[in-house]
Order: sequence, then structure tokens, then C-alpha cells
Amino acid sequence: MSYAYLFKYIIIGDTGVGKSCLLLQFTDKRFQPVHDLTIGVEFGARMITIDGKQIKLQIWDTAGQEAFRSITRSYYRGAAGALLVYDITRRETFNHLTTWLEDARQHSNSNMVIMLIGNKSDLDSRREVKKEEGEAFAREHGLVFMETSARTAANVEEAFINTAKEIYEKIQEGVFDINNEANGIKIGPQASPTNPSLPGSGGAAGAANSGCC
Amino acid sequence: MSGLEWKKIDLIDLVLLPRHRIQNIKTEIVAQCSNGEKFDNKGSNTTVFCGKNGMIHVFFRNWEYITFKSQSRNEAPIKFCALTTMDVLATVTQENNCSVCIQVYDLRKLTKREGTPHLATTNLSPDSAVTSIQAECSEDGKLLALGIGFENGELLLHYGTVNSINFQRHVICLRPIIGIQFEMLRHQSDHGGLICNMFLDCIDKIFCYLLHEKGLVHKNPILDERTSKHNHSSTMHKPKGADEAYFVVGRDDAIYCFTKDEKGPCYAIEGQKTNILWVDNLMVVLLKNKKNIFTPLSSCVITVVDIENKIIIFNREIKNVLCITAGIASFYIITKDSSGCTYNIYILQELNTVNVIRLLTEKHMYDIALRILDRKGLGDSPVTAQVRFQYGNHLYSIGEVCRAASEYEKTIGTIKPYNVISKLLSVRNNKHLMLYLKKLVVSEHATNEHRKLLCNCTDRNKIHFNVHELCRLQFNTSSQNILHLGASKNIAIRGDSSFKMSNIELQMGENGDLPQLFLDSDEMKILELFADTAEDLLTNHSEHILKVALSLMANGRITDTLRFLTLFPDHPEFCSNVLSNVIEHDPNCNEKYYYYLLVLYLGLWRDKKRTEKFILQFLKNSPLRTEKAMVLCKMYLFSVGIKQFLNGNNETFSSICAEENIRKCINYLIKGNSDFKTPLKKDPSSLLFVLQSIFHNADIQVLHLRPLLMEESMKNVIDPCDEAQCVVDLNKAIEKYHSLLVQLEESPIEFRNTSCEKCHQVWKLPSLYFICQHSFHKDCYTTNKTSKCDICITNTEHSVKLMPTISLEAGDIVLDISKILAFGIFN
Repeated sequence: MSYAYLFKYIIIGDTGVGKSCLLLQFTDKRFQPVHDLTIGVEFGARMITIDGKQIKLQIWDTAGQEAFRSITRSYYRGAAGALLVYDITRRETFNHLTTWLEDARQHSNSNMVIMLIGNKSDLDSRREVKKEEGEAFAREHGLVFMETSARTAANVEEAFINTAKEIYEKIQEGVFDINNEANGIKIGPQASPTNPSLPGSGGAAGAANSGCC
Repeated sequence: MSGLEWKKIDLIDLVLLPRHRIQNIKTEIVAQCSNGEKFDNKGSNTTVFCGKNGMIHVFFRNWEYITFKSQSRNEAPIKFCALTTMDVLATVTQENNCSVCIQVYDLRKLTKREGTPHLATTNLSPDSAVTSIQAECSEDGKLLALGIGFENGELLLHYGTVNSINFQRHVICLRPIIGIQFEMLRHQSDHGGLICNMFLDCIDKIFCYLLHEKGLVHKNPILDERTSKHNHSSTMHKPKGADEAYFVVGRDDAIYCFTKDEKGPCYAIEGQKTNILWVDNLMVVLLKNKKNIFTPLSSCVITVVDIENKIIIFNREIKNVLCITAGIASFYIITKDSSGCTYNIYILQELNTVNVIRLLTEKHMYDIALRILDRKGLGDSPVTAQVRFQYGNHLYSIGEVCRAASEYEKTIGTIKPYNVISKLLSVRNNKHLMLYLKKLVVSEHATNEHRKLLCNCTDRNKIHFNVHELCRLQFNTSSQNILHLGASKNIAIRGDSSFKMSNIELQMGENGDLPQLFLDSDEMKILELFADTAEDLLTNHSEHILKVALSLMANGRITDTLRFLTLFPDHPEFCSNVLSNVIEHDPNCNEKYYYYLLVLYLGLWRDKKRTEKFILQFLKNSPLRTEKAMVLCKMYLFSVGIKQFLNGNNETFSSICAEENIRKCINYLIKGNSDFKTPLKKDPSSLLFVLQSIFHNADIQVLHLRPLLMEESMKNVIDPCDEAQCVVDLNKAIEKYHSLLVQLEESPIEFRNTSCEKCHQVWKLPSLYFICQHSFHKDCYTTNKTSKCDICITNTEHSVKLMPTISLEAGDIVLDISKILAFGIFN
């Protein structure tokens, strides 16, 4: 399917905060109560519409365990948006946000839009992190904040779409260099039928030197 | 290997295929390739082994084989070979890292009678060593993509017809190209030619180029760059239903997937990958064993991952692995023996479904078992229903009743409903049972009994709902709500006392009359009714329950007020309100009510729910007897009340403390507590003195004292005369024990026995000696629980009969003990 832009997202956060469930809810609109541990990085995609334009979201769902941190780091580069997720029923997942944020800022491009997500909002009776605390953290670090529930689907769409809107606005403002795919944004055939991003199109190798043997 | 994270279970057997044709190869294999794994078994399952002697052995899917001689003029053996899905074979030989000979064969034309199916030969003289080769054909077999990678990062690429090989040289990077893969796409380019993606693996970088007949098209060539982890091997895989294939790269830390545009998923399997095959949902990874890093072919670990289920289904160390190839629905492992010239072939054979399911269910991997059954087209089979039932039971056992019920519902038609119903019969599972029964009824597997049960469950659910609904309505019910109540009346009759109480509550609120239900019940039943539910309702409707209770008392339906109040031990406020109302309406009521009310008020005062002023006012206005009121005030440490009695009513207090009153009081106590008769009679003031001392300790309660006071010794202590005598007796006893100990210390025992006390035979070791001077052979000694002397035990048993006499004579327990000891020791 053709699209105007492709945005690449990465979902990060401690193990068990519900990253895979958020992805599953967003891509398949379903909730799986028992999800196998993510061992590496999983992959999902979905089309959304912003400002009348079709936008493809490609999402990397990473493993939260410390053992996979080096693998996760290799995915930061090339992501336009990140969902930094914590579990409102587990204080320690909130406490680790600073580490995750440092990691993300260090390995990603500086313009990456980061959305802070307090997941499992349906478990309010077991809440350990107040909404105000999440808001304060987001305010302090310049993030967008939202509480979601992958179980009830509350705010899940909004979380992904609002992040896309932020990225889209940055594109409109010229903050993102859309020709540099390392920024996690790709222009689709819908936006550019001739695909100007292919400088060597129709000719011989661009970067590679070629010659007949 | 990130083995801790992966689930593991052995679902594959490694089976040696004996007397296989591969054993006919009697020379060292220097290169091999196959097309079985290419694009999920789209290849013809042909495998090629190139011998050191220049012979090429082609094995077809039935393991029939044909051998032909390589046409290369180089003396060097074949270094690399590649086979397309259309059975076009390309081989490379290289002499001294320079002279390269590339041969192309069409294996489709290979027969035993015909000669070598040679298509083309190209001789080149590059500056670097060949590090990789790959070839792929278009579906019609006319277009060939052939790439040869070199150590210096150069690439020789042919993209054109099969018959005429025309290489173009490209400099890709400065690192060796260790992996090349082609993805032939069905759609055509603007120029009319087929589009082909070419992926290159260059140790630390991944490139992707778009090819057409005229050469390379530069399109975001660097897909990934990572200097810290090196790439080792690569393959192509197209997931089911996906538009594009993955270029799969094995790195030290994980296996990464790439599309032509970006990074895809990755699977964390640690180790140096020498070979990766991925067919359907199974990924086979050949890992170099860390223990034998200097002998690459000696030992490898083969890991098979079921990607769909995220589970490792085979993980074993195997020695001397040459390669792995994909066959029809199976994988083959070819190993060579220590001589290096004889080969064996193993097949990775999946266990039969029954065993697989058994193993998975044993490890509680029900969801995987269900997915596997579904994959095998057994989703509607009885086996699946059985697994679902087991899964349901497992979920039920861990408290996931909702999910359990969902699994049970899917077993309808196969599993007997009784098995499920018996699990969900509890009231708390009523909702789930109803859902199950509804589905059962719809499925037409239900009997009349099941339908009746569903009706009962529905009623049960309505009762629950109505109770909550009525509680919510409280007393401001609209006419509509009264109608609702009326509709629920029938249900109330069925015996749900909660509902009855709600009903009563509402009726009282409407007209103030006593509910009919109570008029029809005796006092015992009314108390039972309150005992069942009223306490719950008190939480929200205490005032209304109070009205009901007072009305019942006023109408004589409850006569034993205090008994009624004992039903609400946790609601002193309610109890005090009841009592104060009762007293208000009948000031001449039972005196006990006043005291009980005082106790309740004092309790509330302690909880800061009543003021001192309020209590004092009550004390002033109530006809309480001063001494009893004082005791109660003392119990609750209500010092203001006590002071009032002491200061304000001196006269009264002195009269309370008068000798005569104390005596009266003690006599009253003796009457009620015959056990305390002795101490109370002997010296009441001493007893009171002792009690006063004891009660300074807040932890001691009266009940603790009861057994103590009944002790004979305590009675003696209470009596001052006996006290002195007791001290004298105890001192005497201590003196006796002291002298006995001195005697034992100063009188060593002379051992003179010459024979065993049991067998009377001559003394020999090992033997046992007791302080009583009895001795035994160790073998003769009868082991008993106390390890005492056998003879003395017998004597003691005999002497027990005399003990009562002794006890009576002594009159002192200490003396008794000393006598018994003396008897035991010296006789």
C-alpha cells in the first residue's frame, strides 16, 4: 500500500511493562493476557492518517531485559519516535526511566520524539505511580505524557498517533531532514512519485565504483 | 546463547540414516551448496558436494546422485559453489589468491548418460581472495544473478542471461564480502527488466542494492553498520503472507533480519553462527562451539528454533558437522568422521504429534500445543479439545477463572459437560458457568438438566444483582423502584437472607410498620436473620436497621436485647444507640442495660467518639451503683470518672470501702467462684494486695490468673503463715540436694563387675556402664527410648506402686522427687 511517509518507532522500557501488548493492541486491536517474553526485537506496522495523508508506522518492540540492552541500542538509530513505557503498578519501572531516557538520547538522533507512557491504567487499585508524577517527569524532560491501558485499549491509539503528529509537525517545521533515512522517516511513493531520494536511479552504481571486467 | 530467556523443549530427534548414498563419496568435500532452503523450499531440494579431486556430486531430492568432473582448468579444488532454485550451479576455483575460474552448469540437463551440463566458463585475475559466491535465477530460468565477493570488498556481478556471463566489477567497501543474497521480485522495472534486490554482508555492514540489467542502482545501500559485533553468515527468508523477504544475518549477539528498506526483527541467540537455515517457522542455527574454537569443524551446537512459538525445540552439540541442508519438511546434518573422507547423514526428525503434545502439556505449554495442533490442521479434533480442557484446568488452578472458562467453552461437544460444570459450580463462578451453559444450550449438546441448571444460575445471578441494586436504591425509592422490589419478592422467598434484609429495610422506610416477614417468625429466626446479614447492611444503613431493631423490641419480637446486641460486636455505636433508646423509653428497664451502656460509652470514649463530659453526665443521671461504676471506670482507665467518685462523693467512697462492704463483696465473689474459696477465706487483703501488684502489668489479664490462683503453692503463698513454712521446706530440700551432690562428687565408684548383668558371661568389650553400677555387653543391652539401665527401669516400674504412699507421707512435691530419686539410685 502506498503511503506519504514512513515513520519508524521504537518502544522501550523495563521488562513486563506491556510494550508488546501495546504494539499488539495498536496493530491487531487485541489484548493477549499472557505474552511470551520478547527475546530480541519484534516488528509491527500499521497505516494511520494524519492531515489527510497516509502514514505508515513501523514499530520495533524491544526486549526490556538488561541482557538485551546492546541489541536494543542498535535500534535507536533510525527511529523517529520512541515510546518510553513504564508500569503504573510498579514503582521501579518508573525509577528506571532516567536510565532509559539517557540511553535513548545517547544513541538516537537528537530530534527523536519521545512519548512517555504510563501503562496498565486499568489497574488503578494497584497503582504505585501517580499520574501527576508521570506528568512531572515528562514536563521535566520535555516529553509528551499519556497513561494507557493495553488491556482496555484506552489511549493506545492516541499514544501512537499523537507521536506521529509530533513528528509530522516537526517535518512541516523543517526540523527533520526527510532525505536522511537515519532520522527514521522515509518519503513514500505517494508523496514523491519520482522518488527523488534515489540519486542513482536509472544509472550505474552511485556510491560504488563500477567497471567492466 | 540467551538460553535463560528462551523456552526449551526437545521436540526433535536426531536420527542417523544408515547406509546412505552419501557414504559413497570417498574424497574430502571442499565445497557444498543446496537449494532446499531457498525461499521456503521453492528449490528442487538438490544438494551439491564438490570433492577435492574435482568431482562434483549432485544429490537430488530422493538422494539419487550423479557425479561429473569439473571443467575448470585450474588445478586448485573448487573453493565455493552456489546453486539457484532452478538448478543452475556456479563454482569458483582460485589459484594462489589470483587466477579465478568461474564455471556455470545447468543441472536440469544433467543425466547419467549425457556429459557435463556446462553452460559457461569465465577466467579472471583479481587481486584478492574470493570470500563468497551466490547465484539466483528468474522463475523462467533465463535471467541469472551471479555475485562473487572478495576479501578486499570488491564484488563481481553478473546480472543477465544464463548463457553469456559478463561480470561487472564493483567496489563495495574495504572489508571482505562474506555473504551475498538475491531476491528476485516478480514485478518489472520501468525498463521492462526484472527487479532484483541484492543484499551484501560485509563483516560489519549490511548493504542492499536494487539491480536491473544495466547494473546496480544505488538505493540507500547501507542498511546497518555495527562495528562492535561482526556478521558471520546469512540467508534469505520470506515470512508467510509478507510482501518482501528478509535478509537474515547471524551476528555474535543475535540473528538480525533486514528488508530492503530497514531493519526488521531480531532473535537473541548468542554465538558465532556458521550456518543459518530458515524454512517456514523453523530456523536452524549452526553455532561454533566456544570450547573448540581452534578446531572449527570438530564440534558445533545445532539449535532449532520454532520462531512462531518462540521456543527452542532442539539444542545439541554435534561433532564434525560439515553442513546442514533442508529437505522436504526436514533438515539433514552431514558429518564427517575423523579421517575426513567418510560422511554420515542425520535427519532432524520431528516427534509425532501425540508425543509433541504430551511433552508440551506436561510442561504446561498449552498455548503452544494448541498452536501446533492448529498448524497441523487438527484445530477441531478431540485432541485439541482435550488440550483445551487441560489448559482450562491449569488456568483455573492458578486463579485465571475467566480465561479457564473461555477455554472450557471451546470444548463443548467433546468434553463431557459434567467435567466442566463440576469445576464451575461455586457461587463465585456463577457468571462463567452461565456463559458456558448458554453456549452448551446453543450447541445443542445440552440436556434438560443443563437447561434447568442454566435457569437456576440465572436466578442466582438475579439475586446477587437485586441485592446490590436495592442497596444502591436505599430509601428514596421511586415508584418504579418499588415495582422492581415487588418483582424481586419471589426471589426473596427462595431464601436469600441478604435480599430479605434489603426488603425489610425498604418497607420500614416506606411506612414504618413491622415487616410481615418478622411477624411470621419467632425470636430465634429473627436473630438468625440478623446474624446472617444485618452486620453487612449496618455499614451503609445503620439508622434504618436501628429503626427496625427498635420496632422489633417495641413489638416484643425481640425480648432479649443484650443477646441481640451481641450480634454486633464491631458496632458499639449501633449497640449504644439501641440501648440508649431502650433506656429512654423505659427508664426502669433491666439494670444490666445501664452497665452495658456504660461499657459501650467507655469504649467509644476510648476511641474518641464520646466526650468525658458526656460520660460524666451519663454517670450522674444513671442509677448506677457506685462500686460497680468505679470498677468499670477503672477498667477503661477513665480517671476523670474515678476522681469524681473520689472527690465528689467522699462519703459514698468511704462507705464503699467499709469492712462490711468488702466482706459482702468477697462473699459474693466466693459464691460465684468456688475455686478461690481458700485464698479468699484465708486472707482477702493479701489476695487483693497480690492482685493489685499483678495488675500493674498491663499485659496480664484476669483469665491468666485463674489457673495460677488455683495452684496449691499459690494458696500457700497467699497465706503468710504457710509462706514462711514453704520457705523453710524449700531451704531444707536445697540442702539435701547439695549434700547428695557433694557425696557423689567425693565418692568415685569402684567398678568390680566381672560379668554382664544380662547374660552373666565373662566380661568383654565393647560394654556399657551405668552410674547405678550395672553393666552390660553392648550386644546384650536392650536399646530403649531413654537409654537408661535395663535393670533399674524394671526396678522403677516395680516401685511405682509404692509411690502414692510416699507422696502422702511427704506432703511436699520436692520431697517426693528426692525420695523417688533415692529409691531409684540406691535400690
